[in-house]
Amino acid sequence: MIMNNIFNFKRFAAITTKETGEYFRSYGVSVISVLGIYLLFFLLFLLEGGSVSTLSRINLISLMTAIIMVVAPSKLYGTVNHSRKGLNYVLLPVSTLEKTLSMFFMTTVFTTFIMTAGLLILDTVVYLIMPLRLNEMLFTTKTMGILGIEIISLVVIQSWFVLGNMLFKNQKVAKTILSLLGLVIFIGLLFLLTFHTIGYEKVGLFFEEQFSDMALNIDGSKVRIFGIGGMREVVKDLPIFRKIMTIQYILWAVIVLGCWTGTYRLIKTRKY
Amino acid sequence: MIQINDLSFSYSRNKVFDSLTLSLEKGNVYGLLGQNGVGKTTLLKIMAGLLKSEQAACLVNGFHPYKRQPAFLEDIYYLPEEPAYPGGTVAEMGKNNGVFYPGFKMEKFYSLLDRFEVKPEKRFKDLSAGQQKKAHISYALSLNTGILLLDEPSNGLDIPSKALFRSIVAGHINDERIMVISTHQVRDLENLIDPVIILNNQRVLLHAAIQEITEKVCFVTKSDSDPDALYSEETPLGYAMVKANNQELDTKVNLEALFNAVLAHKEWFDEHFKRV
Repeated sequence: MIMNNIFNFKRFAAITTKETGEYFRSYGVSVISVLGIYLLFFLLFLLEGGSVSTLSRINLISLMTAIIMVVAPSKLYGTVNHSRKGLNYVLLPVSTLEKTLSMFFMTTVFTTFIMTAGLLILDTVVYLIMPLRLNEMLFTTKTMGILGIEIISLVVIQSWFVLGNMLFKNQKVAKTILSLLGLVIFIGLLFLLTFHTIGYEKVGLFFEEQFSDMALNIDGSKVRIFGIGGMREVVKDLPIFRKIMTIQYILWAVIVLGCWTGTYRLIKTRKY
Repeated sequence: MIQINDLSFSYSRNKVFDSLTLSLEKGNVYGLLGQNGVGKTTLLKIMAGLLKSEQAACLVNGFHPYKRQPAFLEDIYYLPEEPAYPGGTVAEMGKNNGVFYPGFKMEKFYSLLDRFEVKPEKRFKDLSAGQQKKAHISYALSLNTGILLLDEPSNGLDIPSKALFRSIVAGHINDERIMVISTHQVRDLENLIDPVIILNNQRVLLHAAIQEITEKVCFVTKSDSDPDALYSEETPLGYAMVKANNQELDTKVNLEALFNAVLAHKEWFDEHFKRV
């Protein structure tokens, strides 16, 4: 009975099915518009006469996916904390955990999949029509790896927007961007203060020591293979880089978990 | 069953309830009456789990409403005074949301919509406010929840629809269900609500069944005013009065006059009506 009030797969499947059914009514036009904009950008690049590099295409896909991902929470769940419009959602006989997991599925998994799949299919169609104007197909292990990392970082950013969607009652995206900027400035100031306390010279010496061997250890052949876009692939075997990456991934996981736990709490305790 | 024990509730410094105690049993349609700002909607929201109360202060079917557990939510429905309309058609609202309520029947939803003359294939945004209200009432009743909380349900309905609403709600009363209807427009719900709950000044002024009310007070209209009347109001037919029923008259309850009488003679009603 207690377990049944926390999580029930049948209920979770029912709310996810309901929200998937309502997805395109709320967000379909935006998704299609962004796909259209990508195609337009592509055509404009190609009309200029040159070819479009793989990195440019990955960056463009990441940008388009980022836009759709950060706007998704407010488009799909913007009314959840509204005193009148949010009642249908909060009173639906589904547990808070099921609602939160369904929200995660719709905003993070489904939206990201729809967007990247849509953009990659468009890209492939253009490539098949004009293979000479594009360097390569994006469906390769290497490019998918780079795109995967980009998407993971977008998931981190999106989780902040999901929390912002629950915290702010109106102008949710704008206020979340401002809060993100505020946070970045605050962390920057915190670092500056720390460096100031330790002493800038000591900090400089520390980094010099850490990176002194880096140039010697870089595998030059990898630079040639991966290009600038694959810098991560080139340096990933370096111990210092691996340490930084580990810290970064732990930090990302903490941010994502923190934001989603906050969202869960806000759904559970919101008063109407 | 809804059990409210010693409930206190405030909006920042504005105290709405102070030690409110109330017990609502199955098989009744409770009329929740009171002046503006007395806390009718607040009480319904506390019962529905939309506002926080202390766990011991409010129990609905044994659940603390504010926890909003699925087993609690699937047996209660709260229809606000101005419900937000969902995207899509009326039929889609039933199809998409009804699945979460074990008692929901799509055929019943369609049949109620048909009685209210609302087309299921119409999009919500294309309906008038009154038609949207009828669609919401049809949905609320077709969910077959054990507890139904209706906040000013007759607001926005035209005159024929108000009569139809009364008839439909009367057809949905059963021994397993509690309906609580909050309203200002008591005449819209006369002959439907029993018992009556009147809220005033952070507490329950009157909580009594219609039978008890008619046993203790009578509602008469006379050409001359009576100084002993608890309430008297001049009407085209004479003076409509509420008096202590010393002569054991069997009269029909005039809810509006009763409400005014209770507000004017709080002590008398406190003394003569037992608290439920």
